[in-house]
Amino acid sequence: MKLDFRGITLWRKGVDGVVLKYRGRTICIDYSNTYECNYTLNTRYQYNHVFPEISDRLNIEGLVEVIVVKSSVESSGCSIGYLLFFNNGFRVYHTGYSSSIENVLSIEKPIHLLLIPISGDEASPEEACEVVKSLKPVLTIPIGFKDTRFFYKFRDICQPYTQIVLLTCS
Amino acid sequence: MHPYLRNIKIGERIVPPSLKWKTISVDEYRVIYEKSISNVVEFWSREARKLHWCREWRVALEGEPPNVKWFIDGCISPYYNVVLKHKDTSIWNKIALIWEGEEEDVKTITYGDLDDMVERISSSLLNMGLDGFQWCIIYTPPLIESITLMLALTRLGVPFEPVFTGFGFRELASRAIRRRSETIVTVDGYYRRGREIDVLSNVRKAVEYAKRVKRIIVIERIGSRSFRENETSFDDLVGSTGVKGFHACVKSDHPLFGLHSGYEDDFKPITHGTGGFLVQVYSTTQWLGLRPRDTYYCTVWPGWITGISYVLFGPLMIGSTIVLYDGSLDYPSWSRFWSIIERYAVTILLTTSGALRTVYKKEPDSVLKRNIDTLKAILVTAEPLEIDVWEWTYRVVGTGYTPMIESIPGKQTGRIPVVNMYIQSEIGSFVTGNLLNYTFPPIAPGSTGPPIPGFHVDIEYEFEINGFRIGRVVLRKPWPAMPIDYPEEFARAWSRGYYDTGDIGFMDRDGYLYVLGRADCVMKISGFRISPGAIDKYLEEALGKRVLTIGYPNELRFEAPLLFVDEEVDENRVKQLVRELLGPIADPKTVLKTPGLHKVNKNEVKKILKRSFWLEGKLDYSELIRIISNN
Repeated sequence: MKLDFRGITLWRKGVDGVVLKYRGRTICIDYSNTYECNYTLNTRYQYNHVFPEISDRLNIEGLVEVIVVKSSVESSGCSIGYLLFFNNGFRVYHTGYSSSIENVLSIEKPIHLLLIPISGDEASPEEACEVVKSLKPVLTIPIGFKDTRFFYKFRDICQPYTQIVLLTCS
Repeated sequence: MHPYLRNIKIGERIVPPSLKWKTISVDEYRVIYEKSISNVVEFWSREARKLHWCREWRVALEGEPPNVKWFIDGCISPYYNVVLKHKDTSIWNKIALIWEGEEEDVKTITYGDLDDMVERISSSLLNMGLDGFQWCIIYTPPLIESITLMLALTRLGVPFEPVFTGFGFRELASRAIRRRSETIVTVDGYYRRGREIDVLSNVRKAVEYAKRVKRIIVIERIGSRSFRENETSFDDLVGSTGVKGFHACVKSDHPLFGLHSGYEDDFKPITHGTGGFLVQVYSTTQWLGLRPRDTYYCTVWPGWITGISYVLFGPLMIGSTIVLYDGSLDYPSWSRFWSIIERYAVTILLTTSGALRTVYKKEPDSVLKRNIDTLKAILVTAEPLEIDVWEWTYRVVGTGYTPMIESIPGKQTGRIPVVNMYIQSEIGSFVTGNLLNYTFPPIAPGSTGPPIPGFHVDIEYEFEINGFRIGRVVLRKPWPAMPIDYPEEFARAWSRGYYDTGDIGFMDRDGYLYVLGRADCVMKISGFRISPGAIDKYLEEALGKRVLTIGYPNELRFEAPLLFVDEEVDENRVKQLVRELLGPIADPKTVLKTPGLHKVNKNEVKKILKRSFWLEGKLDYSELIRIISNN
């Protein structure tokens, strides 16, 4: 299942992965495939990995600017989020895996598309919904869950604050 | 006895738990209603002030029905009132339309992006030479592209007629000819139960027939066709830069859109004026319960009045998010229907009695595999809704998993309202029903609810069956969306000082309306009004034999065409001809050889057969042939 929003096409890969395609370039988040992905971003890093600095910026061929956002620091590593500013004005925010709302408050609106894990491992559906209430994104795609009960809980609380779309994963 | 009458439980009233504190008594309802119809001019003038007018009207109503005018000398911008008024509000950046295709691709567009797209398209249409005196025919399934195109036409003040893609090329051609249209907008094709349906070939055949059509605008849905000289890709229209800020301000009685309505001998054109129609649709959409934060899904396609009033205009005027789906509701199973509601967190569903009847009979458990608890109301339209289907919808579909007041999940107690409502092309909007955002008395299962304030709906008594006082469903006073252009049948329907809808029904002691079907021989097939005379006409032309078509009671479709032909014919060929010329919507049930058909008065015989269905339920075919032969 693929979704088109303002010239960006996206689809899910597995439980956590997301692929965004824009003007022939694909950016994968938490999914890696040499043939499918021109660029890969990870939201989780173990301490023995080299991981990007917070507020690092990456410009992808003049099409997208990617900004690293602090998500959470855990004993095994850290999780980071990503802001993607497309050159057509479209703004995407992937929160990474975090139960912390403080980082969210610093995000500049508007956010057109929010990608947010709701698995309950780090952020519960209720906590994820607090992010939605703060940012009021135009469209929200919940990810990172296997049990649909998480989706139903998240959807039922959050629907008035954003348009939710359940994108089935391939 | 008519099967619908056998199961009616007069007097039963239901208060859905979710509306326990909002439900008013019948007495309270009657106070509001009686006041509204005591002075409909004052009532609708007040409603009209909710819209933005370029120039306010001088007189609210003038003339005698059917020749009335509303909001005389008023000027209004339809596009402003539908889309542009949301600019600089929070609605501008929210999702306006979500489209899902049968193959599971999804597209979304915000109100702001919608306006941008409409601006570009209207600029291209202006360059093509379209103006407010030319009609445009729209022959597409529900797509973001076709909605934006209709809005672009609205922006320019160009009237349009959406035609259901279930109609065949001859019917499409007939409508283009009657509208003297030079432009048809269509798709190359769409998917239906996994198969590609070729629409463009149908349109090309229609254009050969309707020689006046000069240009075809093609939305590339399938993407598999090359274009001819008179064909333009929709993508080329979007490429231009728009004429900033322009939106037509038109007189109140300027034609906004038209439809062809089914009458006994053929489909005939009716046209709705801008001012009155927008007033009526905006108010009724608000009263139905739609709010800006709702996500709304209507299964009726534009091409029918419900799809125009309550997909294209009303919900956009409110600022809701609208879900469009152009595939088959039962593909790959009826679970698809519910998955759309689940996936997009739909809060209000508007669907047809036929769709609910079919899923109830074929896959009633399909809803249990989904969680559709975001729903706060199910609105039903198009044809009578049987008690057992209503009960299933209320208790099985509507209860859900979320406990609420007295609603207990798992015990199928019911939770949200299931409201059946009455609408007609000539009227332009719902005129009966329990209103979530206005008058909501208890629901009477099997009825279409009480009349909506502002519409004087009544019954002209004709006969009695088993204690039921049956009569014609009538409107005693004019309404704002009265057609500005209409066939003779509409004028004749006013000949007794009230509007005879052609439907038959009764009212209970509280004034709740129960619609039972058509009084005349116009057929109601899957909720659509289909002219039997149109089928007769096309087949007699093609076969050179006399044909009589009547609507026969059908368990799933409410009625299905039953054809009588006076000589031996190949049944499959006849069915194929009907599908090709009129459309798959009129797929006949069967074809019966009937000697002596060429001698009978068809209109008289149709009335006799119809009465027999009423009094005795279905009759077997040999009995029907005998009745015809004896007349």
